[in-house]
Amino acid sequence: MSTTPQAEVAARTVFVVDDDPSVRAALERLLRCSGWSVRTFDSAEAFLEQGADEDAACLVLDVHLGRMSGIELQARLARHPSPIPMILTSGFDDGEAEEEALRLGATAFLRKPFEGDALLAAIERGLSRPRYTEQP
Amino acid sequence: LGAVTGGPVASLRLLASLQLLQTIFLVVLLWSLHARLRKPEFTSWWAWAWGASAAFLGIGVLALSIPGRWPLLRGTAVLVALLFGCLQVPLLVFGAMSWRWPGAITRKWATVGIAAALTIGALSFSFSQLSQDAITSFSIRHLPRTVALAGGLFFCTWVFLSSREPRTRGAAITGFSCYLYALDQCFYAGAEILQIAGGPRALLQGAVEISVVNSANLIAMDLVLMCGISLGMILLLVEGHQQAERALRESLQHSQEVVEENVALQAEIRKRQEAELALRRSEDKLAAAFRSSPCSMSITTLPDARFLEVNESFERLTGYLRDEVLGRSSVDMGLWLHPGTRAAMLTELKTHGHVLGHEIQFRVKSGDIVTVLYSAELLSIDGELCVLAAAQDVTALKEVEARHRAILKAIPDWTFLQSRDGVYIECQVRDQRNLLVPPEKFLGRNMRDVLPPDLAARLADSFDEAARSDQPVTLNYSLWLRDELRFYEVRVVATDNDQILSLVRDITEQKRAEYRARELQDELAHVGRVMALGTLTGSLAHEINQPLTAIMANARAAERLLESDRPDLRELRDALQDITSDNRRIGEVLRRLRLLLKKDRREHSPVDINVMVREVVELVHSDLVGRRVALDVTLAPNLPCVLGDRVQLQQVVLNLLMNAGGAVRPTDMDGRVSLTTYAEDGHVVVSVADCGVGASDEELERMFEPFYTTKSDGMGLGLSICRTILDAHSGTIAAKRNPDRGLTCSFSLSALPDGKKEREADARKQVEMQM
Repeated sequence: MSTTPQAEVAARTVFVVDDDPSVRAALERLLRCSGWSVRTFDSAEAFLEQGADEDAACLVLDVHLGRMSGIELQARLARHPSPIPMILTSGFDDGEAEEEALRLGATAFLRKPFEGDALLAAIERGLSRPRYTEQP
Repeated sequence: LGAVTGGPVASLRLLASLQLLQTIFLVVLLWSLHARLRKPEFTSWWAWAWGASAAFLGIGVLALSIPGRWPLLRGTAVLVALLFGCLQVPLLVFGAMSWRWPGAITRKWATVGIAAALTIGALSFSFSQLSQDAITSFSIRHLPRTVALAGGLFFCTWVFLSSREPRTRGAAITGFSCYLYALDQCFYAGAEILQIAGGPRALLQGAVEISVVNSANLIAMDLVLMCGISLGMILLLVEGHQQAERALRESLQHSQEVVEENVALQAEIRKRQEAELALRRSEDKLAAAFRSSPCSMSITTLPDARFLEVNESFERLTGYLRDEVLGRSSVDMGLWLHPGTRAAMLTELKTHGHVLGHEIQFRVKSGDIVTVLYSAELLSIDGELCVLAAAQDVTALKEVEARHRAILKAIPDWTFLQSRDGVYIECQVRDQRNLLVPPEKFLGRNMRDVLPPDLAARLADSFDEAARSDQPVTLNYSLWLRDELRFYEVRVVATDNDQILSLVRDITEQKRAEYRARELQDELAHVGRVMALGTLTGSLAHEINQPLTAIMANARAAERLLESDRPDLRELRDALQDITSDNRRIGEVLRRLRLLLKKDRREHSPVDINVMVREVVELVHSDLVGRRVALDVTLAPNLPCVLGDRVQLQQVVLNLLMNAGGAVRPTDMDGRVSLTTYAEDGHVVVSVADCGVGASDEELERMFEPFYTTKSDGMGLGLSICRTILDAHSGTIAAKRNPDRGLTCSFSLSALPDGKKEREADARKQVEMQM
């Protein structure tokens, strides 16, 4: 079964930031099989360095990274006038991080381990959400 | 006689010549006797006397031969003859006197006698010249000499016949001859007096005639008498010889006896001297032994115990000086602590003749009571029975003995005294029920026959060791006693007299307590691990959640791939491979976790520190990541192994890493923990440094104490458990402040020598045996 995203073709790339190589590889495989183009980063710093392309559809961000945490990156990106949808994941039982992430406007907060479909659904949900610009 | 002429004259001359020869013979005889007779004085006088007589006769005969034409020559010869004739008298008398009274004739007497004789001879010659008649002149001339000679011969007769010496035949014959000779001379004298007086002519004539006629007879008689004297002399010589020989023999015999007596006497003297010397030496020795004996010695009278002699040791022992006690009674002085003791000693002394080594007590001068070993013998001094007593002070020995006995009683251990080869001599056991065998069954027997063979062999080895090293040797063993395994510790020590003293202690309870303590310790360590892991649950969950996430994603991706018309099989295979790998990863985490949570008995085995550390790091890693603490791990290559319990050592590393991570401030963006392993001085060191808040002096000092914590949520057991674990491993753990900030905690363990795996195995075995 092939799912066709409802968003524009331009925005078909999902960005994945996770420090665990096997998680990165697995998520990349799942998303590619689901029709997404995927770019992975092992740290927040690496992601910032590369920068999000215009065609970024969604950002899957692990909370526990090396030096800069996922929440910090989210907070930074959220300041953008039109932030891309962000889905945060965590392997820890992280109540505080979840609250913070949702407060900062995360599309979803997924606790590892999560169903593959739950991630795909969250991405869909993020893309379907209207993008709006906060007034400064 | 010169006047006589004619035929008779010739015969007279012949006779006179014979008499002369006879006289000369006598003189020779006397001279030869002189040296041999015992009376040399007598013989020499008589030799001279008869020599003078020989001269008188010889010169007289010569005068007869001188012709009348030479009257002066003839007169001179007559005078010389007369002087010799006169000289004969005193010489004869001197000889007789010296026979009777040896040494009576002095030179003065001799001179006087000889002078008188010569004077008388000269006077009578002078007077004879007054008469013209030859016969008268002859008579006047010879009368004094004849009278004197007669007197002298009577004296000689008396001397020889009245000799006080045993009358011998020689003396008797000599005396008798002298007597006859004297009578002869008397006759001559009578004839001469008659001639001079010119009495009744006829008678006178007849007498003269007779004398003239018989002159030859008379001279012959003289000859006979001279022979008698000569015979007497010879007899005297013979007798003298016999006597001398007898005397010599007697003297020899006597000398022999004297010599023999002397030899015997000298031998006797030597023997006595030697005996005396030996006695004196022996006495000296005894006296010296008595004086200088370290034993107190005394001699007392038997009946009343009066001291006759004591030595210096006695003075030292009793405190009494020698002068204080001599003559006093030991009973009266109160020396005997128990009054009946002396009587008992005397009874024994009388029965056996001696007393040997009785332990008795004396009260000395200071009032103290001393215990002595008392020995005594009976002794007789000047007929009085005495007691020679020796006492050795054993007070100090007794005290030491009593103290030792008390010590042995006081210590709870059992004591066994054994010979060097293991025969039981003595034992002291409080509760004999706890013995394998009752004392009466093993005393006098060798331990090889009593104890289990392996234990006896081990004890024998420890006996050797103790005897060789002169140090106590400790041995642990266990025995089944009434269906219960009991543990013993024996300390073996060699005594001075080559015996073995063993102190045996029942350490069963101690062993059990130790075992319980170990169990508790292990329990506590386990609790510590559980607690430590409890705090790690979040990060452990993360460790599992990550691969699980990957697995689920891969599984879903695989499903998606299969859903497509032309599934990418390579992708599918990669997905499945990743699933397997992540699964393995989860399994690894769980294995480590299970290992740490395992509640197992401590087990020491060679541990590679680097491998052990790496496993812990894997577990803790995510926790540190969660705290945003970077972990630098530096492992020294080729580290030697250590002997230890892997899980407990991991627990220590876990604790140190978590403490270090916890010490880093949450706000510290540059939080960092470094773990380093290295080898140092035969030890392996694991050191964990943080850059956290550090610690105060008090905290540093107390951080390894139980229940000491600076954290609000901690129990303060982690580090104290670490120390317990290190103690059990004979290792050390310590913390110190870093030069810049934070603390470094490190622990160190003895490294196992390389390539000594067998020894490790042995060590493990030993450890097990100690259990």
